[in-house]
Formats: sequence, C-alpha cells, structure tokens
Amino acid sequence: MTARDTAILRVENISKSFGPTRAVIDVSLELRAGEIHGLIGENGSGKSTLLSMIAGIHARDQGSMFKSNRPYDPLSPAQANEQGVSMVVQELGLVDGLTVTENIFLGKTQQFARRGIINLKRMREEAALAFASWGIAPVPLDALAGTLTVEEKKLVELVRALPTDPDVLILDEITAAFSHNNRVALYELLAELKSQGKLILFVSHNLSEVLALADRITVLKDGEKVTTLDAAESSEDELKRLMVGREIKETYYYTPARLADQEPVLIADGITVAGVLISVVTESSRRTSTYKSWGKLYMLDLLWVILSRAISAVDLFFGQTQQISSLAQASLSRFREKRFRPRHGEV
Amino acid sequence: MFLIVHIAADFRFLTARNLGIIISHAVIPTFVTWGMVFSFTSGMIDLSVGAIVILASNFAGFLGLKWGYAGLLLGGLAAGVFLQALNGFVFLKTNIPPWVAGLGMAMIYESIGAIYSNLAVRSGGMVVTLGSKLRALGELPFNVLMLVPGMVIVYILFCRTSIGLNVRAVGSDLRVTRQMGIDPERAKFLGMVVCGVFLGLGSAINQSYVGQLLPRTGLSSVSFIFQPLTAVLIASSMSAIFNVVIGVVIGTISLSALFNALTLLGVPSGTWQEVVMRLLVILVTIVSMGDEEGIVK
Ligand SMILES: Nc1ncnc2c1ncn2[C@@H]1O[C@H](COP(=O)(O)OP(=O)(O)OP(=O)(O)O)[C@@H](O)[C@H]1O
Ligand SMILES: [Mg+2]
Repeated sequence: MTARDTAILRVENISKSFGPTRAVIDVSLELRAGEIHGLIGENGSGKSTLLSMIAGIHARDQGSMFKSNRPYDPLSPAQANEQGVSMVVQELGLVDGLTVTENIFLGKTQQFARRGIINLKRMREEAALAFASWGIAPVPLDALAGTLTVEEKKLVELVRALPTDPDVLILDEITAAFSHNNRVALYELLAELKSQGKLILFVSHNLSEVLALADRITVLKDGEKVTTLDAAESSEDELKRLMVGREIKETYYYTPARLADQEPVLIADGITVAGVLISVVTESSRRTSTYKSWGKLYMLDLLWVILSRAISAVDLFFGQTQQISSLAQASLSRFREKRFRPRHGEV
Repeated sequence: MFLIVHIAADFRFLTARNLGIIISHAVIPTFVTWGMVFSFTSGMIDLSVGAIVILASNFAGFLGLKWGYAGLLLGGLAAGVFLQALNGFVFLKTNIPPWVAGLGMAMIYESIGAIYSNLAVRSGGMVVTLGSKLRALGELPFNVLMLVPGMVIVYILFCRTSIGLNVRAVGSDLRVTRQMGIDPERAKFLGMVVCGVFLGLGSAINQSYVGQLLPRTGLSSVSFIFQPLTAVLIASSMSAIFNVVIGVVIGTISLSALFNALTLLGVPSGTWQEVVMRLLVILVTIVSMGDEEGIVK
C-alpha cells in the first residue's frame, strides 16, 4: 500500500487569496487516519485559512481535495460535517444569545423534536452526557453562551464538534484558552480519538505541546508549505527555524474577542442628551443579546419622538407636521446606520 | 406606588372594573408584540406592522360579517399571514434594509386602506362596521381568555421549536448560525410568517373590540409599534427573571396600567402620555442597570 491509499484526507495544490493577500499558496497534504497532525506557522502564515477550506468555511480558489479517495468539495461547514469533518474555529464560534444546550444542537434539533416540538429535557440530558462521556469539564447547560468565559466557550465548541462522530476533527488553537486541567483532559480525549482511528488536525502556537502530541507536523510560512516531518525526529529549535528562519524570542498572540471587549459600546457624535439616553438603552439591550435589533429600533423610536416633538413645536410648513415627521423617520434610519455603531463593551 | 395613584385618582384606579379595563387594553398590544418578537428578533425591523393590523382588522371584520366568529379569526389570520409573508419576501429579495422597505410597505398598505375607505364612502357606505355583532371576542372575559392559549403557543413556538430557535440564533449571531448549517433567509421568513399569525389574531380581537377601524395615511400607522417596542424593552430588562413571552405580557399590562393611571390623573392622552411613558422606561432601565452592575463586571 502506498501512502496515497492510506490517506483519509488528501489536499492537492490548493490556494486561496483574500483580495491581494495570498493566504494559502499551492499547499498539498496527505493525512492519515489515526494520526494527530500538527500544523504550525507564524501569525498570518495561512493555517486557519487552509483548515477553513477543509472544513467548508471558505471555498478554495484552486486545487482539489479527496476524502477516503473520493472527491471532497464541501460548500458549507454543515456539508463538511455530513461528510465527517468537524472544526473548532479559532475565533469564537458560539451564538451568544442561545443557551449552551441550544448552541450544541443548533441546526441538529430535529432528533429531539416530535411534531416539531423540541424535547428540551432530552436535549439537555444529551448535552450533559456528551460532556461527561468525553471527559470534558461541565459547563452550566442553561446559561446563555454570552455569559461564559472564553475557556468555557471553547469547551462548548469542542463538545459541539464531537456528537457528529467526525472522522476528521480540526482544532484551531483551542488550547490557548485552556487551564492546565482542561489541557490534560483534552490530550486524553485526543489520544482516545486517535486510537479510534480518527484524524486530528491540530494548530497550536505552543511548540512543545505540538511536539508532544503530534505524530507528524506540517510547517507553513507565508501561505506556503515548508515541509512535513515526523514529530519524534524533530525539536523545538528546528521547528522555530523552519517557521521563521531565525530564532523566535517570544510568541505574542492576541484574541480578537479580547480586543473587542475594550471597544466602546457606542460612538455617538453630534447628539448629546439623546446620545446618553440611547447608550443607556443600547447597553441594557446588549445584555440580552437576542434583542440587539430591538435596542437599535428603540434608539430610533426615542430619536423620532424627540425630533417629532421638536418639529411639531416649531410647526413648520403650515402644520404639515405629519409628513415631516415621517420623512424625518425615513432619514433617521439611515442616519442611525452611519452614526451609531453599537459595539460590544462599555459605555 | 399603585396605592398612591389609587388615592390621587379619587380611588378609581384599583377597582375591579378599572383593573379589567387595564388588562383588556393590554390584550391586543400583547398579541402584536408576541408577533413582533418573531420578526424583530431576527433583525426584520418592520415598520409596517401598524398598517398591517389596520388592513387585517378590516378584512377580519369583512369575513366576520359573512361567517361569524370563524370568519373574524380566519380573516385576521389570512390577512396577517399573507401581508407578513409578502413583507418577508420583499425584505429578503430586495437589498433594501427592512427599516426602509417596511416604511415603503406601510405606505402601500395605508394607501390600499385609504382607497378601500374612499370606495366604501363613495358607494354610500362606510368601512366594515361590526355594530353590535361579533363584539364578544374583544370584551372581557374572552379577550383575556385568549391570552392563555396565546401565551402557551408563543412559548412553544419561540422556545421549543426550530423556528423560534433559529430566529433567536440569527438575531444573535448571523455568522455562526450560518456556519451551523441554518439558512438565515428561511429562518427570517418563517419568523415573519409566525409574526403574521399573531398580528392576525390581534387584528381579529382588535376589530371585535373597536367595531370599526378607519384606515390612516401619512405613515401615522408607524407609531403603532412604539408601545410593543417599549413592552419588549421592559420584557428584556426582566429577562433574567421571566421568559420573554411572559415578560411581554407584564410589559403590556404595565404600560396599559400606566396609560390608565395617567388618564385618571388628568394627563392628556397622546403627546404627553407618550413622553411620560418614555421617561419612565428610561428611568426603569437605568435603575435595573444599576442593580446588575456587579454581576455584569
Ligand atoms: N477573511 C479574511 N479576509 C481577508 N484576509 C484574510 C481573511 N482571513 C485571513 N486573511 C489573511 O490571510 C492571511 C492568512 O491568515 P490566517 O488566519 O490563515 O493565518 P494563521 O496562520 O491562522 O494566523 P494566526 O496564527 O494568527 O491564527 C493573513 O494575511 C490574513 O490577514
Ligand atoms: Mg489562525
């Protein structure tokens, strides 16, 4: 048997550009069942982009993919899922306004429905079972995802990826958010999956972790594959050299979610009193994120009331206030779009 | 607080009769708000809801005069669902933001209403008038009794079916929801249709309550949504304690009580009541935020 036959997933000469940025250039991989395959590279080297193409999140520009020697062209993560490929993405991938249980089974609730009505109790039990059977630290199942810590969110994402029983599990920088205990639990889980003959694609900036965990390691640099090597025959120093061609002093890493946390909730220029009222309303509706759009509309409502009061006080155009306030209303929606950008964070 | 109002209003506030009036007045806004929860939550901000209720009420009355209560309900439901589905189609198939498209649809629906009432007047009549017929649905106790099955159905649809789940998911995080294999357009459209069901029921009760509803023009029907909006704000500020479905009922009843109290206290209805209501909502919001500061941080 050649390597070609034992490969569960083959990626041949795939490329992907975002506008002028060539994120992935002509990369080929042969990945085996029952292997943990590490993927390393500097920030921006194309790891996430490559994996996203495998997981059906991004379409590739060029190249082809084969799973179990059959052409593999997922058009969406859901399609990839159906074909046994599941990914925990690097950025946070939960719906904040839904509970943990709802997040885990979002898009897969049919199995719990009778005559269209979901059996919440059974769904919750199934979720609890998933945490327990995979040995993952439990997370409050009825909590809204938006109220969880980053680590808890990652645990939920991991659990969500597992019940579909994927034969390819892709983990993009999942351990960065994990405590020591959860890391150990994850390593055990991966060893178990590996023994079941699954392929695990694993990205981490922690090279000693990758060396300890992976069977083989592929190094990316500037979107191109540098090499694939056996972990047992490599070292941190060698990997660093391959990644950058010089010694790395430290790896600096940022989580987009952290940055976003520091951004102001609202940038309101031009309006003072209304602005304060509006930010109060936005903030209150932000806490229950399902009602984001309501919060936005309430801003419009408030502005409209204030404005129409002002207009009717002046009573321009011979009492034709009705038309003016409707006009004002129409333009306000556009005004709102431009001026108010509710963001996650503090007022 | 209620006692103070009670005394200040010459002991007219906390009477059984007046409480009945308060709850009666809350029924129609409750149905409309329940409906709007299914559309607005997914970002389908639809400013034509008021215009739809006016048309659907008239259609409910029209069929009601033919077929009795069954016609009343059927007319409201058919018109509500049809117009919301049409809105959903227009919102999703054009690239116009729902805010703007909704205003456009409101104008169209208002015009249809105006044409209809002009035609009716020209042929020597009036818009649909129930007179003394079919008025029980809008009166105590039937209007309030409608709230109970209504609440159960809304709860099931919003919290326990994939329609509600997907609507909530799309409204909270479109990108992730799409990644989980859900078609956002389909989810939004279904939300609009369900919204139409509750607008339709609200319209049937509305027609039965008022007997005759004159179409309005000049986008004045848009202001119809402000009370439901406020109710949702109240509901969402209580979402830690109550499910939004119940929160909406509490919200509409509190608002109805507030309007009622203001009227009893002699505050002119319309402008000033509106202003007082909004100030109060802001106050409540600020206070409730202060309470939760410790938890949020
Ligand atoms: N959606 C996108 N739109 C535009 N450019 C993108 C997008 N996603 C990635 N890129 C760009 O493609 C290149 C590769 O990014 P990618 O996220 O794949 O790198 P990475 O190796 O995963 O980096 P990191 O270690 O920071 O996660 C970068 O230059 C990045 O800016
Ligand atoms: Mg990445």
